[in-house]
Amino acid sequence: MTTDVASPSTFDDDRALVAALREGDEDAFRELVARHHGMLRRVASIWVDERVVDEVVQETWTAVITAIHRFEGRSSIKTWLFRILVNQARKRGTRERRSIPFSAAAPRDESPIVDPDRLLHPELGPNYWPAAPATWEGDPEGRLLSSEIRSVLIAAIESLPPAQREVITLRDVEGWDAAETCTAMGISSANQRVLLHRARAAVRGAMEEHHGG
Amino acid sequence: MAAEPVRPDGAEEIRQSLVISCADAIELMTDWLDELLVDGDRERLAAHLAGCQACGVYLDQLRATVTIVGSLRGHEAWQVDDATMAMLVDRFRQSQV
Repeated sequence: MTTDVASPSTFDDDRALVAALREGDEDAFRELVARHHGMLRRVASIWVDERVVDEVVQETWTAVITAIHRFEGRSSIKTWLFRILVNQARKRGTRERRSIPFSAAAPRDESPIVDPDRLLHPELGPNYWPAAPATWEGDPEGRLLSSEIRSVLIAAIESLPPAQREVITLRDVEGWDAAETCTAMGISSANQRVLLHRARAAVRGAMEEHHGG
Repeated sequence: MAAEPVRPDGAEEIRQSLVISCADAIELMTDWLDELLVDGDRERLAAHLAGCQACGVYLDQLRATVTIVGSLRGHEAWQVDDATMAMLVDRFRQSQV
């Protein structure tokens, strides 16, 4: 038992949280929702129309309430929630006539990450930068993220193919590690890396364009 | 590669000192950021980065991209609102009886 002042939650690990949920502890449920509602909405928006995102997320919570007694702790709560959401979204996606491909079946894109025209050094030849990409002005780390840059980022992520969007959302927005992302999506680590690599390169490209590069 | 002029006979020498091309270096950067590069590839990318300012800038921008994308997580537009929370807690309570 620790008394960590910086961490007010009593449900520091999944096991404690699940045990409390099974006891009907409402604070535990509030904590669960507060922690994961944003993730569920962001992921749902990849697969269903914006108008039904909240409905799908609410259906997910209802399914979670029903299923919490069956949660066995073999996966983390967040990957378990993610999978319930994907099932709900898939049901809804069919109804809304939007197809949800299984991630593992995502088409492979073999085109180069950086436009070959940009990697052409006058002496060294193809595949070498002729000059460094222009550095970004302002606050490239985004500590002072303007609403304008936020819109650029969101638009760039929304325009990605769904599997790439899912990977960059889990890895970089949610901060999941590679193994968690592979487990949740049911993809290989090689596939995860390729999808992430392409997604980040595309978002970097959008930022570069925004900076006038 | 930096924009310094290259001696007419120096291109091959520079290519060798860079170990791998910029295009190949870029392909290794995602695993580099995840610290998942295996020996060999890690040394090759490190050697390339030591001599290539352009790839250094590109890598910094990838890193900055990861950081700013991560800042979307905390944005309040995605958080649960009070009415939804109350409704969900109510459902949870009803499931207990």
